[in-house]
Amino acid sequence: MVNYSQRLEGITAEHVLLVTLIGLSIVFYVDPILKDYPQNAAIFPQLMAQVVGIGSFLILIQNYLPGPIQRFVGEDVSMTESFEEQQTEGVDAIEKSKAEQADIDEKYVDTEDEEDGTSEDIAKVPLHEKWGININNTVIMIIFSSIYFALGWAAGFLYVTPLFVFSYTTWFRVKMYKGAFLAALATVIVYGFIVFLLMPFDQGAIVFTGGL
Amino acid sequence: MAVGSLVEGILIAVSWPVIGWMAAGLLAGIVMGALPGIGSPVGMAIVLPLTVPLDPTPALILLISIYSGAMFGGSIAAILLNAPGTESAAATTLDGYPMAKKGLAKNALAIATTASALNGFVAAILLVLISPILIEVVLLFGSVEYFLLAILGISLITIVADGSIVKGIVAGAFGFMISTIGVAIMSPTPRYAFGQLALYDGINFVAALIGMFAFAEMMKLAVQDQIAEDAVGITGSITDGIKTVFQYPKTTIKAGIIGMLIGAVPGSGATTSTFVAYAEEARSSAADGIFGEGDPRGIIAPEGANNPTVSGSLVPTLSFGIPGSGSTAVFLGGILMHGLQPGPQLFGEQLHITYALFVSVFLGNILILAVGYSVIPYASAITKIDTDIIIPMVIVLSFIGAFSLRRNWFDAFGVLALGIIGYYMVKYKYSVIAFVLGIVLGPIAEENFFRSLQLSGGGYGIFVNPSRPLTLSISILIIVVLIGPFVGPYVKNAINNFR
Repeated sequence: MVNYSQRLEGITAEHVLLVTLIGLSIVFYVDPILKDYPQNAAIFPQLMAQVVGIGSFLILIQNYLPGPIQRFVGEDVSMTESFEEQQTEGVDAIEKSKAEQADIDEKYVDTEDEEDGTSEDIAKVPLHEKWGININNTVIMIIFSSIYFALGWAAGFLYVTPLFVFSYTTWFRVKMYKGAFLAALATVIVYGFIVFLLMPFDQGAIVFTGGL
Repeated sequence: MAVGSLVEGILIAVSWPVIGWMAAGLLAGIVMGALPGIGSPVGMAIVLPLTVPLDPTPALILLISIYSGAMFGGSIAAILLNAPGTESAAATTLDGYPMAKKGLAKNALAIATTASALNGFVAAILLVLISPILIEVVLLFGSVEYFLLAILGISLITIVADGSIVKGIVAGAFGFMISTIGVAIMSPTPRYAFGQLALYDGINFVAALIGMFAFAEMMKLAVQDQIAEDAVGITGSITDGIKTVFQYPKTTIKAGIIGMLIGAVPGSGATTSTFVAYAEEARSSAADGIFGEGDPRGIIAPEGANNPTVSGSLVPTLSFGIPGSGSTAVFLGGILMHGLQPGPQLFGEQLHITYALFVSVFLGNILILAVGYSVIPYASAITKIDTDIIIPMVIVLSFIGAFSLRRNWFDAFGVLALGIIGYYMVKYKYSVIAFVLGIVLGPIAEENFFRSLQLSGGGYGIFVNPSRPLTLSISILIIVVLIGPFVGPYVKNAINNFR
C-alpha cells in the first residue's frame, strides 16, 4: 500500500518551486494560443516556456532518469570550483587547521566581550522564541513584510512605516529607544519621498485615500 | 573621437556634483561592504531606484563607486570579525583575521586598503588603454551575435555558479520568460497581463533586482546571529601595513592581473578572482609562507585582486551587456534604467559616459586610499551594527524604492514575491544571477532574436551559419560551455588511452 503521509513528508520547497515553474510555463505557452497572439509576440515567450517547462520537469523526475541524463540534470558542475579545487589543496589544509582553532578562539573572544560589557544584545531572544513558538526568524520576517506591504497599500506607507519598524525591532528585542529612533528615521525617509519625489505614500487604497 | 571623448569623460568625472556622488558612493559602499550580509549587490539594489532623478552619468558613477567601496569595505569585516562583508572578501578572512588576532589589525587593514586601491588604480588605467580595442570589437557584433551573447552569458553563469547546468538554464529561461510580461516589443500586443493595466508595462527589472538581491538577502540575514560577536581590537601600525605591500611587488602585480582577467570573463566575479589569487599565492609561496596564520601575502593577494575585478567586469558589462556578478547585474540594470544600451552606443556616441565611468573608478581608488586609512581606527564601530536594525530599514527602502520606479503597486509586490522566490532559488542552487540576467536582458535578447529571424526569413539556421564566422564561433562556444563539463572527462580519458 502506498504510504501517502510518508510521500507528503518528502515534498520539499524545491518541489513546490518546480511545480510552480511548470505551471507558469504551461500558462506562458498556452496563453498565446488561446488569445491568438501575433507570431512575433508569441515565439520568444513560448520558446522560453518550453525550456523552463522541460527543464523543471527533468529536475523534478531526476531520480527516475537513466544514468547519463540524470548526471546532466542533477550533477553540480562548476568550472571555477574544479579549478579552485586543483589550486586550493593548501587552502583546504589551512581551513582545517583554522576550524581546529575555532573553539579556542571563540572562548577567547567571548570572554573578552563579556569583560568589555559589549554583549548586551547578543543573548536577546525574539518574542516568538520567548513565548515558546518554534518558528524560523525568516518566516517571521516574511509575515511582518507581507503585513507591512498590505497595510502600506491599504492605508499608505507614511502611517504604517513607523509601526512596522518599531514592532519589528521590538519583536526582535532591539532596545526600545533604538527602535523608536529607527521608526522616526524611516518615517522621515518616507516623508522625504513624498516631499521631494511627490510619491503618494500618504494615501492608501482603502483608508486615508485623500492623503495629507 | 576616442581622445576627445576621454577628455570629455575626465571633465565630467571631476565636475561637481559628479565627484560628490562618487565620494558619497564610495563611503556608502565601504559601510555597506563592511556589514556582513549587506555587501555591494544589496546596497546597489537599494540605491538604484533612488538614482531615478539623477542624470545617467552621476547615477552610474554613484553605483560603480558603491561597488568599488564595498569591495574594500568587505575586507573590514573579514579582518575584524572573521565574517566577510561581501562574498569576495571571504578569502581575506583566511589570513586577515589571524593577523588581527595577533594584535596587527591596523597592519592588516592598511595592507587591504593599499593593495585594493593600488591595483584598482592600475586596472582603471589599463581599462582606459584597452578601450580603443574594445570599441573595434564591439562594432563587429550585430543582432544575431548579441542574442547569442545573451545566451552565452547565461550559459557561462550556469557553469560558474553552484548547482547543475539544467538548474542554471531553467533560472535564466525563467528570467527571460518573466521579462515578456507586458506589451510586446515588436507589436503592440499586451502579453500575460490578464486584464490588469498595471501589468501592461511588465515586471520592472529594477524591482526584480531589489527583490532578488535586497529582500532575499534580508531573508538570509534574518536567521543569522548578531554580527559583532567575534570582533577583535584595533591595534598595530598603518605605516607598517603600507610598507608591507611594497615588500611584495610580485604578489601585488600577479593578484591585479588575475583579478582583471577573471573579472573580464562573463559570469565570474570577485568571489572567484580573490580565491584564485589567494590559492595561486599560497601555491607559489608555499615554501616560505605561513598561510592561514596571518601571512601578509594572504591579504595582498585577494585584496589586490578584488578591485581590478571591478574594472575587468566593466568590459563584458559595458561591451556586451553581460554582467559577471550580482553587483554588475545591478549595475547593468542601472545602465538600462537610465535609457542607455550596452554595446555600440556606449562605445560610440556615448563614449564620454563610458570614459567618465573609467575615470571615476580610477579616482575612486585614490579616494579609497584616503578614506580607507582614515576609517581604520574607527572600523570596528561599523561592524557592530545589529542585523535586526538593518533588516527593517532595508525592507522599508525596498518597498518604497520599488514603488517609486513607476508608481506601480505591482513593482512593490514584485519585491516581496521575487524576494521569496529568490531566497528559495539560492537555497536550492538555482542561479539567481542567471535569472536576473534573463529579466534584465530579456527585452534586448527578444528584440535581437526577432531581428535575427527577420534577417533569415524565419529560419534558425542563421545562428549556426558558416558564412558568419563570429556567429558560428559563439554558437560553438555555447555548446562547448554547456556540454564541456560532461564530455571533457571522456575526451581526457580517450586522449590518455591513445597516448
